Amino acid sequence: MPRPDYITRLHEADYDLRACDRELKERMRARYEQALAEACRLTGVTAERLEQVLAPDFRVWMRQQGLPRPGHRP
Amino acid sequence: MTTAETALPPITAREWAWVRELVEHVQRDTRREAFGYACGQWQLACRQFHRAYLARIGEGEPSETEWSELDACQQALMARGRKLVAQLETFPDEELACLGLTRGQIEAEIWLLERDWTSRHAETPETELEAIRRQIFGATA
Repeated sequence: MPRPDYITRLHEADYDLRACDRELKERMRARYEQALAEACRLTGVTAERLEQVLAPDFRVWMRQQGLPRPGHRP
Repeated sequence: MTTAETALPPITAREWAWVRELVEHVQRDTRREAFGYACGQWQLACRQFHRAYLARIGEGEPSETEWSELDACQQALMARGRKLVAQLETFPDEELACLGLTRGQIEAEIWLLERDWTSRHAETPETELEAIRRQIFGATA
């Protein structure tokens, strides 16, 4: 299933928010909220519903990306 | 009582005020440090929780048992986080800064846990979710 770019941006922001250190939490939250607002605007769906729909897709995206475990620096 | 003791000058109101101020200062420090420690431990636990979650979902869909474990941990973290957020109100920003903390850090952490919980546990009809799914992913198919 193709994934629109704005959803990918939202997943990236979600990952960074979860994985970042505490000093970056506020900034990452703002970035996530910005990406979420953009996705809501483009789809016309509420933030709550969008997050519900995207929770499983975030897990699929994680596996597709093969992202490193947070905290395990190369 | 000796003559020497009776000869001691009385402690003035100003001196008592100074002692009281010292005691209050120590109490404030102790309370602030205890709060800083509690926040630090909670943030560490949240960090480990997110790491474990991301590592697990990176490998595949968690089992029912694993979801139950994740839910139990998340609920405990949310309960503790809500208490810390309530306590935040009693600390001015300068005191939090002494602990290397900001209000926003703690609020962002609890916000992340709660929105994640809501998105996984809301009871929205599947037909409604499927329609949104089709709208998003079907549109670019």
